[in-house]
Amino acid sequence: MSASTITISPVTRIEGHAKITIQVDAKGLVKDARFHVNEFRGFEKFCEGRLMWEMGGITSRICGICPTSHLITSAKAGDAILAVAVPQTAQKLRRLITLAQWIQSHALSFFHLSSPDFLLGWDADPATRNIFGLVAHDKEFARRGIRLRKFGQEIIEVLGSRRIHTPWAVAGGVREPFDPAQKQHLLGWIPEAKETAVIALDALKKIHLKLQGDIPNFGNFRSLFVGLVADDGALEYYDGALRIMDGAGNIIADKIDPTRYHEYFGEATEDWSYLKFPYYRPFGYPKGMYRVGPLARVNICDYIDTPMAEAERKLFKAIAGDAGAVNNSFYFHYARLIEILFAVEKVEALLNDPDILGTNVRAKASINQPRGVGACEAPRGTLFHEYEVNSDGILEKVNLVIATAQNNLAMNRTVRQLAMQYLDGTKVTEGILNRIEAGIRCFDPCLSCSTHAIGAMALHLQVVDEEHRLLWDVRR
Amino acid sequence: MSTTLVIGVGNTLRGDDGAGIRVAEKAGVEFPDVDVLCVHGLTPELAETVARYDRVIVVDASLTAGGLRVTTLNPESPFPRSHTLSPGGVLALSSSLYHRVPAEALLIELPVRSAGFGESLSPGTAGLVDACLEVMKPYVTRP
Repeated sequence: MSASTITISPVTRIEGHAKITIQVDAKGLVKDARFHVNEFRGFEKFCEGRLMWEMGGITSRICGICPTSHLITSAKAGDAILAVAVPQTAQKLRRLITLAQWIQSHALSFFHLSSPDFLLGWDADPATRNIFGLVAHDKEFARRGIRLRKFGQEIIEVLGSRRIHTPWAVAGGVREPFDPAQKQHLLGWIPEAKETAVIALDALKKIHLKLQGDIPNFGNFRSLFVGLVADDGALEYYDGALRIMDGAGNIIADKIDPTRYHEYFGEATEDWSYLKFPYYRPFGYPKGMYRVGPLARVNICDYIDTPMAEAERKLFKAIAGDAGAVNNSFYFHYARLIEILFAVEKVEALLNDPDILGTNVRAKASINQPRGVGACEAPRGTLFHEYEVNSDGILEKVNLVIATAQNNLAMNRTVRQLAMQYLDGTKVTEGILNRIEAGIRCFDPCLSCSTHAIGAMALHLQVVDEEHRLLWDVRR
Repeated sequence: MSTTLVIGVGNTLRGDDGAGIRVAEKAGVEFPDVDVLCVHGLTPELAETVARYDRVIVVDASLTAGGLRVTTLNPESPFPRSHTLSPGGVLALSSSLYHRVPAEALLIELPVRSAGFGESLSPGTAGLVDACLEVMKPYVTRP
């Protein structure tokens, strides 16, 4: 056998489009594997020349899954440029919609995209390994997942008047106050949402037992973890300071002002992917690999300030044992469900907070600073927007550091680990391909695209030799 | 709550792709007794909403429709296998998860003649908006 390359394209049930190539040597051993992102958007460039006030509406269209995170982060960058103090009511309403975004996105990731693999099995018919297959397998579980996502969307719609691409948050605050008539309606969802989160956690713990042979291979390596934490070390999602933890659980940098992110993180590029490769500058590229998102957030925080989620966090941390941090990427799913529970508890608390009913929701000002950085925790990890404007508020430079990109090095490492574990170069089964794809899905990558494939499993696999001659071509 | 729901599907920033939304918005004005929902695409979450209505009319743009195309909808069986959830797929989910489907369900499709960037419909497709409302009228005015 000559050296060859196996290609999985497109990678399915992720947000956006990508492909995986696996290079195999003449002995059939995996030499390397890469996760390629083959779509190009160019938002940073074409936003130049636009007015700063337009950025919420523009950047929320980066993605149909997490538009709210871009909206909030954009508004925070705008707050910095206006140099205003955002009214407390607006701050709390922004928190509320950020939590709603976590709920709807995390529910989509777990119930719609990932749980079909776990509940139906790696080798199940690809055409059934989706939300519809889940309905056929366990109607009540599927129904709960769909409704949990709907709860998050409902909050976003109540606050922002639409479920996606709402322009509701603006520099200085939000456009409209909260309608008090909606409070009881939203509170009515809480018991069911909590129950669903608990049911999902119970189901996942059974999945952990069922898949204990596979889990150790799912992106199980040490890396840095990065995210925002509150002043007291609590899990944070809207504000706070950056904390960096190593794979042994040591905090190596803490209380970093997010506006100084560029001092700590660089962005490398490779000619085989449009997705950048952020890294921790002090360690260099690629040694400065780090992970963001649920796994990082639940790892780095000292505690979670809601009781049910905090109880789960303690169980989660027990998985780390002497390692100090949970390094296995499969536990992104566990952390994601803990965050759903946290978000539901927190939404309940915010809805019962009289401050959210205030009507002073926007501070107005002109351009007071030439540069503004906004940061918040999007479902997939820390999101940064940096804008530079002229005195009229016209954007001269835009830098967006997206959560998925920050996991890029780790996603590549995960694909390589899984390929090395499962592929011997002579047989490529459906179950093996799906395990490799599922490794990517742990990170729930959002490739800035609201049109994506789910369940179609339109895999295209190619094996080529050293001269790139096609040896094997399989489509499904 | 109304007994009839009109769902407009599409992207109003891409020319004729927004035709379904334009029709649904106009239906909300012309027929005040109907509920109107405008969405970018059909998602599983809609199944619960749809299950609550006696009549549902989905209005969408289509690349394959030569003119106005009207189809009676039934729950798809077996379940659809693609992420591109069809109206029949939504009904299938309604039936399976909520044990109820609307007694009448209709899909009205308008042809896409131009899907470039822009918020206006092509003259040909715009000219069919009122015809869509005429198709709907007997359904939405029935008690």
